[in-house]
Amino acid sequence: MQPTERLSLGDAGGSISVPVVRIGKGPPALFLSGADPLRSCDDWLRRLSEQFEVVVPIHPGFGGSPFVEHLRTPGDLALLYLTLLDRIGSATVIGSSFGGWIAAEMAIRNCSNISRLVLIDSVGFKFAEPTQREILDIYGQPAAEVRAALYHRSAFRNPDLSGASDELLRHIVEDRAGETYYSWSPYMHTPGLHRWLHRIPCPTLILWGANDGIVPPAYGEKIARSIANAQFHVIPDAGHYPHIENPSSVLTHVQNFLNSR
Amino acid sequence: MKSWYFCEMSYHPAWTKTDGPLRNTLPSSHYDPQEGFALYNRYLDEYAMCDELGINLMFNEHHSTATCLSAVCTIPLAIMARQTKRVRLLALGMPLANRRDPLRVAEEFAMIDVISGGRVEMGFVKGSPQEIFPANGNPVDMMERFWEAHDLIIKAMDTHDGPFNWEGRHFNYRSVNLWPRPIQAPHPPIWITGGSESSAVSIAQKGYVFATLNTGFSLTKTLFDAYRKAAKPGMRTDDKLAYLALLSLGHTKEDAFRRADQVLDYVRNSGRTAPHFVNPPGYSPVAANVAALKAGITGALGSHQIVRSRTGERISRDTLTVENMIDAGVMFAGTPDMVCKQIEEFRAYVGGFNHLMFMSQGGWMTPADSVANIQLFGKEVLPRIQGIGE
Repeated sequence: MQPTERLSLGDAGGSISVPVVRIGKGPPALFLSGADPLRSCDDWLRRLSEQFEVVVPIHPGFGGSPFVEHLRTPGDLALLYLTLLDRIGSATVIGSSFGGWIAAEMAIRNCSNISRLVLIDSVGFKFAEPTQREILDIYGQPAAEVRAALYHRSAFRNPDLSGASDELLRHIVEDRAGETYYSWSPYMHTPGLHRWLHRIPCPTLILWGANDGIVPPAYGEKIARSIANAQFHVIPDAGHYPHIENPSSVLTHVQNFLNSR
Repeated sequence: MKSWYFCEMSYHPAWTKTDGPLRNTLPSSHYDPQEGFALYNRYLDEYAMCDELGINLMFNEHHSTATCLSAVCTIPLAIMARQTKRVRLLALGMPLANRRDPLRVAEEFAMIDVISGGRVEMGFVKGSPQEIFPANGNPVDMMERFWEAHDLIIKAMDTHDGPFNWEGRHFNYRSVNLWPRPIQAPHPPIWITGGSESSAVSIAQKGYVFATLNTGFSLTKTLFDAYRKAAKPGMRTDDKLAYLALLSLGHTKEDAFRRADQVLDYVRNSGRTAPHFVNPPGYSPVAANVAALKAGITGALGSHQIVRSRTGERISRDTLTVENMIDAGVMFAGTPDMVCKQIEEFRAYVGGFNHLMFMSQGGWMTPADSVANIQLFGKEVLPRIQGIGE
């Protein structure tokens, strides 16, 4: 989906221009994505936009959005998007994978504009011992094995990019480098971040693809146990991106969550 | 023209113990330390014999691999500082972006420069992509880290009035006060490898030696031309250009080609790397990655990892021959007459360079054959080429 506008988020040293997709009508929802390697969440965003005014920032360094020198970590991106929330006001914040990491970094800092938090197959935490690998090293595996871990459905595991535009391919390459920049080391986590999850006061929904081969549902349950007001659900027939592989189920859970008190 | 002997110090005994990759994931159970003891000392002996022949020495390093036992390039450099008396000692090189402690790099080079009486040449390299995994340096901003480390090392070597602090983007030191400082002032000569015109330009602007590895007829001229064009007027650019070729010699063509084919065994095996390790995100340019996605190519995109014919076609590792490597300008092989002619032809084609680095040992080559290559070069080739460009 193409950005619809650029938001200028000011700081003392000058403003940062962030490309943003803004679609739909309703209460605002901030959606933070990971480097979905096929850029295939358009269907999900359209469905979400039937109920929300959805705002999707393109992270600095991801396709079509230049790196910003002083934004070096997901914690820095969290401050950028808290600044964005200052602009749009109270919102439901939904983060998938790497985007979930950013959402968690936001929520432990300041939930005053986060009415509800949804984490979908989120990374960002290190619960286990140093030699225990909790998140598959996506940079150190054969590409086919990474796709098999990411996706449940074979159409996603064996994508055909032959008809893709140069721009789409460039964005896919840049998304991957952008995510790598923030997540190479420590790999996909902020040391000690899980120790601050207790600071999150807002109702939180943790959703997990039943077939996620990148980071298993048990990791999501650990996140849920660390947040006071959290519920955890597994999405069937889905890998690391359940909102892409099973958007109906994810939307149903989100609706039920928003309707609950 | 100056010459530089180079040996990858392979651990070829492991090459036949697996059909799979030799880099990054091969368990060290495939390595026998006693065999390693023999090989290290053999390789170092072969390096040491270059001293009396007047052949300078070049060392490199790789990690987690059976293709190269030199895991720390400054260790053989330090050994040769004591075992040689005259020749210059080049590390090509130190993978700066993969070093967590650039001050330690400055200390190592400075110590060796002093111990060797000022014979060190400091080569800084980006490093091969698979090296990023054992080093665990972020591939996306590695060149930014490379240049910050470079700046810090230069400042450390050229500061003689006490400590300074360095609070940079990648490195932090509360007190940099380099002891010893190098003999060569302000610092030993700097070399940098490159495979693109843009890197040639930036290295030319700094006035450093620009080295290309196995870039052959297809690419070397383009890179050297870019360097010459960007160099400051009046600079003797030939003295700043270096080329690494494979090389093999014999009193007869048959002997030379037999040894040359053994050198090629190194090339045939050194690329045994799993494809997911050779193109980490951010290492290669976006445009090259887009083209690879469109073409369905997985694997290395860097110029130094691809062998090309004279006309630019990719030569696969299965189709390497001594003849096509000579034709590509990647290898010089034959009798001393033949090799001198090949070097002169190549040098003329690319527009000149005064540093010839050569790799004349590979894999299963016997010590007798390795020594014969070095001695033939020193006695029969070097005397005929060293006057070129002087």
